[in-house]
Amino acid sequence: MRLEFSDVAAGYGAGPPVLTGMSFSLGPGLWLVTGPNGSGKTTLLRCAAGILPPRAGQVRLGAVDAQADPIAYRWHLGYAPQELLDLPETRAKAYLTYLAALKGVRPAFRGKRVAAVMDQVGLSDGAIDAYSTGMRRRLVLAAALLNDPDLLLLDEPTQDLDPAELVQLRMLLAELSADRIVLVATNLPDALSGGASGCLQITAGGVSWRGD
Amino acid sequence: MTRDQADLIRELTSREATGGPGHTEDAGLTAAEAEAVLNRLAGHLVPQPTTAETAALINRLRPLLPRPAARRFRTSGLSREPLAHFLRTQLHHFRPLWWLASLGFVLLGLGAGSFLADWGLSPAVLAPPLIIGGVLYSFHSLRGAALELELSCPVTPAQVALGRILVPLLYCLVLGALPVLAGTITSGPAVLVAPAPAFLPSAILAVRLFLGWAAALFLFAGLMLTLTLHFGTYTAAGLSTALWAGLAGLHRLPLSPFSLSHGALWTPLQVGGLTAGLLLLCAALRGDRLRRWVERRGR
Amino acid sequence: MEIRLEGVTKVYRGGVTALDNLTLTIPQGMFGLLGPNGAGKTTLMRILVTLLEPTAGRISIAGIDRLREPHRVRQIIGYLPQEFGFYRRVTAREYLDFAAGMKGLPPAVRRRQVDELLDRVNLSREADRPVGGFSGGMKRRLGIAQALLGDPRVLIVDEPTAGLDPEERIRFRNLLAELAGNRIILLSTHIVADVESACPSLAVIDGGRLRFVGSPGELARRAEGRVWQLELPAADYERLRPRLRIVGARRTGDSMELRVLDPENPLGQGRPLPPTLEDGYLALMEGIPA
Repeated sequence: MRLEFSDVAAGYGAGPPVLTGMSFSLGPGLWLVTGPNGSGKTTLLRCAAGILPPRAGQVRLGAVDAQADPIAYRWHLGYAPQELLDLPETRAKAYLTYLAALKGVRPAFRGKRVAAVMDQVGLSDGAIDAYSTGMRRRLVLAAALLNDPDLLLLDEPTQDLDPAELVQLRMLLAELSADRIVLVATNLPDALSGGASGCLQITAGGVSWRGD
Repeated sequence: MTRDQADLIRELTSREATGGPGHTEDAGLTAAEAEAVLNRLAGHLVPQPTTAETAALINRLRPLLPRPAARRFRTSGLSREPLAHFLRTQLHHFRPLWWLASLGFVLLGLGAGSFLADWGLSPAVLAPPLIIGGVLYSFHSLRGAALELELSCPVTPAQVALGRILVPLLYCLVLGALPVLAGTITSGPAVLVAPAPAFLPSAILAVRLFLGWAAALFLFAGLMLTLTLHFGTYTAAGLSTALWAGLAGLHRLPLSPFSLSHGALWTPLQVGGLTAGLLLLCAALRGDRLRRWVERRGR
Repeated sequence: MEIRLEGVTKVYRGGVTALDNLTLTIPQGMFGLLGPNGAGKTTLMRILVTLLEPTAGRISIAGIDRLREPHRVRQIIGYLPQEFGFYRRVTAREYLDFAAGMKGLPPAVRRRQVDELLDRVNLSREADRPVGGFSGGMKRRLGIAQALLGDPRVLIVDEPTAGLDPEERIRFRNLLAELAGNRIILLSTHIVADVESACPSLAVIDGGRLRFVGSPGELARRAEGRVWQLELPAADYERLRPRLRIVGARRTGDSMELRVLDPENPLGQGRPLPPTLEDGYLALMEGIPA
């Protein structure tokens, strides 16, 4: 199972292109996406999540094309956005149960799966609007893990984490990246580079370097 | 003695005649000794392991077992069936307060029913604010992180938008039964006393009331959805409310949808409104329109 | 010039103790403040910039008694909080002018300082553009410019590099280092790397209490001889995970390469590693004996 970008161009609305000619192919492992703010890290992740349709090129996960078969594409995908401000005002467990239903988790498994995932990220139930930023990060991470995805897309999961929380994230990523494609956009590449399989540096819309 | 035991005795009593280095001659048992051993073996009860012992054994063995299939949850826990309970999951967004408030609004409006009639307004005038409020409530939390999380699920943007509007739409449609009921009841005891054919006018009245309600509802639902996806919830609510107020104000005009008087054009007008509303809903949920909504919201 | 805290305590209504008998001397130059979320760092900073009053204790800032003469303290302190709102339509220059007015700077001085500061933080070219279009890094620089109005002796900076990309972070750190010459800059941050490179001394606060004061080298040395590299097959990792203090992990094929904190060689199979500042911090927080 590989994530493939073939000559992808993407932008917002009628605005200028943010990504141009983006091509790469990633297998299982932990891949960091770094680059200056505004260079397109979030845009890349959104394209990979099938949320932002590319203006040109193809995004494929395995044999499934994100545009041709959007539902199948997102079946084995988990996405944790960077923006945490507009989360609903419910309780975490209820919200995760709702998302689990949307992701196709069978009713009989939902409760257990939500509990398991909350345990995995170290999150306790509570009112979402009373959550600290760190807990919101864990919430969206939990949401991304609900369907046990093959492709995990995390946008700035390192932001606002204190050193101890960073360690927990590192371990979680190491465990998850064993047989999954984990793509992490981060402004703190040094914090995660110890466990990374490689790093995609984005500049001016293209991938400039991929190290191993 | 069983056959196996006989073979065993033969084996035990035969003399080993093998060569090779380190060979020691086996001292074979006599037949009697062998039989005695076997009988003692048969009588010896093998103790049953306790639960603790079995658990301990399994724990000792576990590290040696191959790793359990890592993705078991995925294969059994995910369902590929169409989202039949999609609508049910959407109920998650609506707190009890909203259900009650909507109901209360209709009841209040009917309570003021006589005022409405005095002003020449049909009960259908209550439908637009109800659906405007419903769509506003339903969509206002669909932005930013919440929207991104939903869009990354195996649902299309159309399903997301449709799901959010279906619950308030259906509920408000059901609430339309209240003014219909009120309208037919206030037609008076005459209905109960009169013979069967006299029911017809009240049935027609019921249909008219419901048609008026449904038309206003769908028209403003379509409008709200279209405007919401283009301009955002609050702008849409503002514009729609302004339109509603305008139309309500013009109710004295015979062609107003909220007018009590039922001219010849009334029914086609209502049907037209209903159709327009449905068309607006369908148009709003088209892929390319939604794409722009997604991109804009995703920013 | 120094900031002296003696027995500073802050108990909020409801009984939450945010600071507990904190005694600390912050010298001239850059001083790092590390600690987990909720440790009391923000409370301490708010007390210093006179946004909050302590429940007990004595504080002197550059010789001024913080509790008796807060107005004088405000004249020499600049604060860059983490959350910083701007009106989107206002230009950078207008914003600074407004902030300078708020600080009570006379008009003659205002204009000169605004120009100088815009130059200092490299925003002269964008001075007349609306702030709403600024990038995160630019907004931070504007925030620093605002904090520097009135040429404060003391700068309190809260999580200044959160959300900045690596290049912006380096530039910002350099800017702070330039400013640190004859000032006290208190830098509160999660990002250990920022403290490591920029601060000659630091303090670690946890649960409102002071856990460490010293140089980054001293904090790192706290984990000397306690950092190990351990390779475990994946199955063993699952079993042993709860028993090891793992601070880093990497998957290589079917085994896990772990970075572990332990007073003794874990499983006797570890390879000793030189400690980083992060290791020292974690060892301190985990209570690993020095």
